[in-house]
Amino acid sequence: MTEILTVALPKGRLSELSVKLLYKCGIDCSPLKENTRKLVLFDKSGQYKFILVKPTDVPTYVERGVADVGVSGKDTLSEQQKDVYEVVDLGFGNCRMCVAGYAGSGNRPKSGVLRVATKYERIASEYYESKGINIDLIKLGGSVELGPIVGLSDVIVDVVESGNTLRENGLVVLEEIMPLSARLIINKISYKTKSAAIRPLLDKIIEAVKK
Amino acid sequence: MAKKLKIPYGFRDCLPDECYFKDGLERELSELFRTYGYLKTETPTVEYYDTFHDVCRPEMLKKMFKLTDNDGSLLALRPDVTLQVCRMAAATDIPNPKRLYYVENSFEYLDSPDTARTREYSQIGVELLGDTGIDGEEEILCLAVESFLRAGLTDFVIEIGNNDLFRTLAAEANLSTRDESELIKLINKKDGGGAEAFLKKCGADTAVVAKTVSLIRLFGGKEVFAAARKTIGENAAIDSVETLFGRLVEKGYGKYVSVDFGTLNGYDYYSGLVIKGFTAGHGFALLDGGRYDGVCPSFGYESGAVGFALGTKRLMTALEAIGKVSRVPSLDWVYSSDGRSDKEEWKFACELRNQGKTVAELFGFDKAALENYCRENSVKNAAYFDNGKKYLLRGEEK
Repeated sequence: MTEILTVALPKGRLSELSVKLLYKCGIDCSPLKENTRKLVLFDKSGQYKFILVKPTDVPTYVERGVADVGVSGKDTLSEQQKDVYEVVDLGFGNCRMCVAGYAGSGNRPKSGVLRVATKYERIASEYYESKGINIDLIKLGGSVELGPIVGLSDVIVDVVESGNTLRENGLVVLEEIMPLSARLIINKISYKTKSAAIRPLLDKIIEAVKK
Repeated sequence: MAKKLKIPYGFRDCLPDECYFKDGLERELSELFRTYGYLKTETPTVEYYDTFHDVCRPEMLKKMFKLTDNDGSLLALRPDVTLQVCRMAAATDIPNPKRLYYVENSFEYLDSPDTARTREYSQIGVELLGDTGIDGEEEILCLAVESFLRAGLTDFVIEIGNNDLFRTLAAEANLSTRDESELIKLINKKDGGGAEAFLKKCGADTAVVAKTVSLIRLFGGKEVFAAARKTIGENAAIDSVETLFGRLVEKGYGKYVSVDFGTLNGYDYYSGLVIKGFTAGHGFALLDGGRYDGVCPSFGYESGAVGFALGTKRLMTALEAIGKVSRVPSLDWVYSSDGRSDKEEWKFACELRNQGKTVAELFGFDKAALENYCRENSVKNAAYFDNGKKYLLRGEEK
């Protein structure tokens, strides 16, 4: 009997794409496609247990070993720096972590200190630290674009996908910090103790991603 | 309303049941180490920050709890016992090979409570100092296996790796120290794509990139050695791990041993052998260790060193998960009195205590309350003293 693998999937946007990828790997996870409020689901074979969690919580479940495998955005992984294996770039959910603001506003302080609004405290502070720029970091929970508009901040650090939100609010990308995409993450112990189940899955995923 | 009950995050109380379990475990492991000729040592909780400064990477220095002394010197709470043992060895005349063990708490400064780690953690570990070569490594690996067995784990893995294989490749790629530690992080995350992109950016040639990235998949059983030679070529580090692997198999430990050439120790002072110990169902390593020949020389003492540390609390969690947990046993005896039998009570309790029994007085309990307490707390024996006379309520006095 093969061991059951617990897979943490992020609710929302990445979940559909993850399900699509799992299909390509021959895992029938149709229960995941049904409109359900259940948080724990199994695939048809019963070999995989899926838990649906908030996207920013995926690394926590995997780090603590209650999920063996998970799908998480690179933005979340870079921000949280959890101790997990980050094995495959899944090639979907592609976007960029950017500095944005009004065109021509520049990304260095003109006087005093540069005010940066963001949801991503660690990414923003490490980025500006590497550039030797001191900043006033303003942590926001969402709608970060408002920062420059209402005069709360000079620039923002945020995920940019199509750039539509920025455009509609009259903002532009000033600098790109790093490209982002969904990653497959694995608990450091599970990868070894359940390698008979994880390795074949990983090979299939790598194969499916290449296509 | 602040009741002053709060303790800083990452620190914990250890309640009686947990303490009892922990003490028992520490006693078992200490006894095991003692039979291998290891001697217990204690090191100070606080040291000069400078002591660690030259041997630790900046990340580790950042994670030290710091204090200042009266004269303004910077002090640090013990971040790790190994460094202290080497410092101690450099200043003493204990003959080599030195076999030492410790049971101590170490401290790590975490800047956020949102972590699975604690800021104070109990460790029990062994250090073997001297030029003990591969035989010393074998002894430490055997002790690692024996420690888990002695603790009561049945399904566990002792994983062997070697930093030198990576070091050889990093030298071929001509990386700066900074790039090298960046690459170590990527390899430790098994981020193949990331490592490949990073090496290319550093200008490493294609063959070296392929070899280095292959480390990420070089883990598992004995098949790993052939795979490693095929992709990387002959290398002393592969030979050394294979020899150790073979020696452990010979001893009947084969089912507990595995290999991973992609687990690297980020600390500068590790060289060669890397050891990890873990168990299925527990998301964190329980045991960490390896060879750290760089430490003693940094204290002006020419000696090799190899050892490991076990995370006591993590080991306890793993044992609890398989039902191997001990709890404080019920009292053997309880008694109470009318308050006029002091001499008799004292004599009675002393005799039992001299036999090693646990005896506790329940102040002011009448007979009914005493009975009730015994029922609720599974106490087998109870006595009540009335005007100097003893009445047995439960059990039988031997």
